[in-house]
Amino acid sequence: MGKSRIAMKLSRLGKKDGALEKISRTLKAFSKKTGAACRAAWGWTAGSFRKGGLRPWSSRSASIPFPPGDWRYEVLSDFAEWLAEVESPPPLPVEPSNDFVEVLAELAALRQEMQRQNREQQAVGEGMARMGEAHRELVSRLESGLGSLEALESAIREKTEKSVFLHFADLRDTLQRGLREVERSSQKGKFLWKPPPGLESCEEGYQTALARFQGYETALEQFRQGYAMALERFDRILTHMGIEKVPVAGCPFDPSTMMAVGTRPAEGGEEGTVAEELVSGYTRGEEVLRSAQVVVAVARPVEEAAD
Amino acid sequence: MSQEPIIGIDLGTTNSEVAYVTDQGPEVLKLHDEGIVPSFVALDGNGRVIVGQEARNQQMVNPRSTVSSIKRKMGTTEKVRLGKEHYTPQEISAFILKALKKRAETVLKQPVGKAVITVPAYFTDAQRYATREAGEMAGLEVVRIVNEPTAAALAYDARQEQSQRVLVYDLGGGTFDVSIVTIESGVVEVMASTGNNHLGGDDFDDKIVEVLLKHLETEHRLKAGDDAVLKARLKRAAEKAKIQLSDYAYAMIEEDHVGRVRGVPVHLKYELSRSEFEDLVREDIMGTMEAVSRALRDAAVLPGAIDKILMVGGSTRIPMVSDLLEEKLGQRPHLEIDPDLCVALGAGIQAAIETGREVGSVLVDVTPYTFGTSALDSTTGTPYLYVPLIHRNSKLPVTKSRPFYTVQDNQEAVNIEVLQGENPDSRNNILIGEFYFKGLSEVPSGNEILMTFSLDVNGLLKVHAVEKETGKEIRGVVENAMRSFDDEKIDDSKQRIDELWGEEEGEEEDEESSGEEAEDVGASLDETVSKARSMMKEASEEDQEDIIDLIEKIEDARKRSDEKSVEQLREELEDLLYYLE
Repeated sequence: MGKSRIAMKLSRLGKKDGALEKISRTLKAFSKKTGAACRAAWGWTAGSFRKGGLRPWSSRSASIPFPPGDWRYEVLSDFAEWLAEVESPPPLPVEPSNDFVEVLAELAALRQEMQRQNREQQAVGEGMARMGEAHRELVSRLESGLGSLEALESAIREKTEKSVFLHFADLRDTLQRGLREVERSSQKGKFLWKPPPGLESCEEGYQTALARFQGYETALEQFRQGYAMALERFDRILTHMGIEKVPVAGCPFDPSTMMAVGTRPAEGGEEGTVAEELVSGYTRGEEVLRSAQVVVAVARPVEEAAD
Repeated sequence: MSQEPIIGIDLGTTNSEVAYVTDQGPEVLKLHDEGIVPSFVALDGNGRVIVGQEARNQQMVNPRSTVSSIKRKMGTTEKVRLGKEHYTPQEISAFILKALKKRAETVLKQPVGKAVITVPAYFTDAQRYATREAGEMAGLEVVRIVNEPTAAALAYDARQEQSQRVLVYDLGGGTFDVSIVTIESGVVEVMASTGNNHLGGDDFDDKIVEVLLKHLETEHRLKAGDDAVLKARLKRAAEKAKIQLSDYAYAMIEEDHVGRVRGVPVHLKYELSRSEFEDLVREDIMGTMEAVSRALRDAAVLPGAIDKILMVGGSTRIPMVSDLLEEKLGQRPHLEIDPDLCVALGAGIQAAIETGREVGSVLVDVTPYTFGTSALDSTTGTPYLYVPLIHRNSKLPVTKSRPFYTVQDNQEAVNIEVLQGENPDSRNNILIGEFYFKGLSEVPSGNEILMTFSLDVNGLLKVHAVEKETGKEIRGVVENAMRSFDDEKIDDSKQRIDELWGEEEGEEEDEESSGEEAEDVGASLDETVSKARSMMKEASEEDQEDIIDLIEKIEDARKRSDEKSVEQLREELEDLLYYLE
């Protein structure tokens, strides 16, 4: 049953209660007096109402089996109106009559009204009970819905974090490559030709070259430190996000977190370990956010796949 | 979930997936990943079998102990080497199936013993039998072998009440198939199937890599030669660019420190346009279009007789594929369900059907309308060419961009019309927004303006235009873009037509509407009567009599076709029931 219907019934019920009590009291008193005869007559009367198309409980009463002007017409139409319009408790439309049949007819209509009222009350009661049930169900659904909403929210957050993070992971690789290039550019450990004693003419040039070389190395060292600092900061943020970088330097190749994109002859005894990292890899808990792409040191160049 | 679960498996050449219909609908089962399991089997250093991504990861280090693309050998007696042993194709496939079974058991938290497995439509009986055998070896009872195009069709339309002829275009990582199937009351007939066993997205990546290598050589004099490591880096960048070009007109490929020339580090920066990429792959894609023609011929079907085109495989996201198919077959292909997972989802649906469960199709948010703009057609000169950016049935949210060019020298402004509709003449579509992009550079005609449309699930359409050369841009928003502007327009047209036709049309309409109403009454009358009958048992004796009386009268009136009385009596009966409820 729709909510609006229940609401409608409630308002109708409230407005009519006073009048109904009155009717009910009259009815009880009357039925005691009239007894069985009254009940027998009711069936007939109610039937005749409907045959004529007049439905005592409906506002849609169409025809009344008496001509307009007839007092019975007035009575019946008043009565129908009273039933239809429930804005204010109307007066009882029964005029004093000596005609017993007419009294019975009115009485039957009243009884019909009583019956309707009882049905309404019952329906409203049931409706309320159903509403209560529906409410409880709604609350429990809402509670379980909130739970799954939280799970959904955290799933979405993790997914978004992942896609955003992977862009930054590319930046880390750029920094890493920059650092490696700076280290490769260093001339440390190389010899600077020093002119032998006696070649004084070259001494000045040597001193200039030495100063320039030292200045160059100092600048490179500054660059190196800059890259290293940026990388350290990046890795600190990772820890904060609960993300771990797949360790590679000197580690054995692990296919669960690394992908081999090339091989290189092992120099020394580190066969099966990572020789170079091309793309850094990351894990978050059990999830591999991105496999590291590495070059693996092997004993001898690997032949092409058999098939 | 007391019933024994049946899983659906897409056993692919490059990748495999397992799907299951949960309370939320069909889902590909994910285990800390995207649910895509590479069809690779390998032996690790300890002689342990590894499957999927892990096996693929170590292929370069251990090629002799790694097997891939075993599907190509299914149904043959050829054995493949894995470590020291030799295995049949069924046995290798069984390793993959076993891994998928285990995945399902982990995700569903219960044992799984039954599966539906998909195979290509062209698979012979021997190949199908081999697939079934592989399932049994993996401890799975194969309750059904389903054709891949059938599974795709199921994902799009699980109920399939009407007979339809569907063309399934499947362009994956390494294989291409096209099939035409007829689906009639659940029975699927494969009318034709053809393809190319060695064509796919990997080939397209390689073509981009070639361009990049050439660029490095001519621009930076960097010869990559056999530098496998550099090639691997470029391949990764190429794949990323290819994916980006599905939505955008340009992709910037930037790779730092790709090598050294005379001790100086070299960086790669290359802007790949969609049109350049299309030129690279045109030959291959045209080859697939020929296969489509061949399939139509084999099935003896005219393009117009195809009811639906479904796209399967990641490479079908390349816009040129959809455009060429639309040109050829006169309708837009469906791409809204993730083409990588479509077959697996269909297998999952079939599995659920096998258990007798009620299932719906895969649900995705799509746009019901096409959105585009108006431009001058450079070939015909008509100024009302409708250029769609976001096609109907695109999965939401969606972003699409396209380049446009100014027509005149020193053109200062362009008018950007945002249109909803399908008509090739932009005037017949509905204008839902209009923007002016002023202050363009004073340059000769052909100034490139990149236009981007982004549409979200709430119908918010964002428009972005940028002058490519200078980066000058404007942004606009159309709210409620997915509202049916069509209806408003139709109402307008209807009114106009009504006015022209005068009363005649009106009368006809009246008749129509009264006919509909009569039907409604008929339906609700039956409902009322049956409701009355069911409620009678509970009613009092008096009410029972009344109800019987009324029902009899209604039936009499109905026989006399006295609609007025029927209606009146029905109201009476309803009133009575109303209070009995």
